[in-house]
Amino acid sequence: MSSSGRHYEVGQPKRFLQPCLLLLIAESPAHGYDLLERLAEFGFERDPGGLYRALRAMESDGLVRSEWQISSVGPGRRNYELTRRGHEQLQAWAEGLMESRHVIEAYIQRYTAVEEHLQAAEHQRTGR
Amino acid sequence: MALPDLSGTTVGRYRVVRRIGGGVASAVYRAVDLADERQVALKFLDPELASRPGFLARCVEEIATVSRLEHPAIVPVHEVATRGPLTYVSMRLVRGGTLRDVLGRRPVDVRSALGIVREVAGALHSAHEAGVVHQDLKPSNVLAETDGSVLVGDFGLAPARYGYPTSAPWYRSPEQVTGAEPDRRTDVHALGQLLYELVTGTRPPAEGRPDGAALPSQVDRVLFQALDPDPARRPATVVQFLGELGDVPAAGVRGAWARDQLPALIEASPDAVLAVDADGRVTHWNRHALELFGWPAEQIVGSSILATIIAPRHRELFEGVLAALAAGQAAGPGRDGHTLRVAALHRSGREVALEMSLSRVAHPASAARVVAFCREVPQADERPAPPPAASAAPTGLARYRVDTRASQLAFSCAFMKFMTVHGRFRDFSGWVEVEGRDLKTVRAECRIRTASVDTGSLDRDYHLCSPDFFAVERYPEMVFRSTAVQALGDERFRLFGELTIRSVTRPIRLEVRLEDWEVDASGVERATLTGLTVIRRLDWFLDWERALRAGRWIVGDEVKLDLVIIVVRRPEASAGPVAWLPSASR
Repeated sequence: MSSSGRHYEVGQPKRFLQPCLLLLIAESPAHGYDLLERLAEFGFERDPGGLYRALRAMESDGLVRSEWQISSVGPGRRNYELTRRGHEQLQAWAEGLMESRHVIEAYIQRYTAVEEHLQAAEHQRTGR
Repeated sequence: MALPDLSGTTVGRYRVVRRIGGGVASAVYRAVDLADERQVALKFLDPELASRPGFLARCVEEIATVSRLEHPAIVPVHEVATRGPLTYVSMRLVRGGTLRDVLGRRPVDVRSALGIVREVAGALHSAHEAGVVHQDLKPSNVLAETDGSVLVGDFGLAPARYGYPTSAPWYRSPEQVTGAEPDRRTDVHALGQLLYELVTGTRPPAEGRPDGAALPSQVDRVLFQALDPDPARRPATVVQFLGELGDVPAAGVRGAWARDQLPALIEASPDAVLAVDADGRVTHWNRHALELFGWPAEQIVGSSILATIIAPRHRELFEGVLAALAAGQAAGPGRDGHTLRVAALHRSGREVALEMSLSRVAHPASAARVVAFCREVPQADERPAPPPAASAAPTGLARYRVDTRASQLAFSCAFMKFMTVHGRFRDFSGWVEVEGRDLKTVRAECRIRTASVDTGSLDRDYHLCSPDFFAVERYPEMVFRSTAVQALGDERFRLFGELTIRSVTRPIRLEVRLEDWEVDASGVERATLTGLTVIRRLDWFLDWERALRAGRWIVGDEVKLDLVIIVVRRPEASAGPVAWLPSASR
């Protein structure tokens, strides 16, 4: 929400869920509830329906595989781990993001410069 | 027709009780809807007719159109469904039987006949205004309630227009015989035939002027016009037909006609029926009642229903209700209106649990005061329990509620042949039951608000909700009910069920797998299931036909359903802490 009270759409780019899930599963194989908690670190709102649909689609695309495991807190849970293809996809995402990082850093530098310039001009105008 | 006797079987959500009518193209059964124990009439169509090109689509379209009218003289239809080779129409069970059964070939007086014809004409006029011509009106398609009111049934089912042989070819109009396109005047012709048959007890002659010698001249003239072989010379509409009859006096259908015909109405009823006088002595009966209680007719007539049929422990209760009804008072509270559950005695001494619907009548030719419709129900301790709530679940049976906020009912289908539209339903509710955590026992139901469809485009969603597609005002919900399950391992199963959209019910199969099944520290149990399937929307006749002629190719037929169902079950209040041993669940 801006100071003027207007609402602007910000957040993760569309399809950012998949690279985050690939990274989290690469860090450690995980089940759905676990991933739901860890996704919050990337600013995702809790959306179990969206998460499970994404996992199922990724499995269908061969990026992850799952195995039903006996659980100590219930009849069982499905555990997801990365496939070789999933790892390649993760690398591709990471390379793409690293390339984007330079663009994003340049964007932020130029934005910072603009803000500083505008603030200096404002000081000059008001004499404060 | 090529259908076996279905009595005693379960078809979809119905338990089929026994055949009560039918003809060449269909068989009608009395059945019980297992969802709410409501009695219905199920009309099974000959598979050969149902598979004729265009039949089912047109049948559903016309039934849906006529149902929307909610006309009091049109038999309400609950659903049209297919199940394997069976196609059936579920509708209200009208208790008096068909006009053909009630009247036989006995004529009724002109005033009563005109009263019946006016009711039928009202139903036809409404259907005509909605664009539906009956095309198969005859006495066996007009049903009578025991109060004498009549209802027209079988809209949308005329078999002859699909080249199917009809059981009563003489009711077809000349233009139907020659293959010309029927219109409103076809029903005017049938209405004339009905009137003729009501007042004379015979069918009009195939050729020549119908002989209505004993009729008022005005009625005679209108009949002559309505039965003209040339449609152009008939009254153009049923309203005009009624207008031509002018002020010839007609009796209200709930008046003399019903009273005069009471014995015939009871005889024709598909229920076991007894009528009793103010003292509870049996005055009328039908053969179903004799079968139910095992008494020969000569011993039951004149005997006291209290002494012979009602079990001693319920005689006082029954006597009180009977006296109140005979005196014109409503039945008391706690008795479900005029319906009573009482124990009765078969002649052999066996006890029969009965559901009795009691109605007050006045019959001039006899002392009958109350008519009792009797239906055998399972004994109280054998009655199937309603689906239990989680807190009342018997040992091993657990009911889970669908967590609507966390679940997703998503779908996608092709759009313009090169794009895909994604959407979801945002409002739904449901439950899943499983016994002993054995996936082979899974049952499920989900009700989805059609108006909650969301495809990300307001214009498109508005059109989806319109009468052209989901018709949300008329059909606010679509319903999925499971019918069978096939376990495919510890965590996968195939769920078979029925999906009803816009009153059309079709089988559907979901490939389901478990994602998680856990219990938290407070004992709340939560399971996540994902389900996938592809359905064809045209199987439910969802085809945008009226507003968008090109809808058939703009929007793809195949709709992919992608479901995430998260279900929750809270611990029973009395249960202790949940201690889970993984080995116990395997």
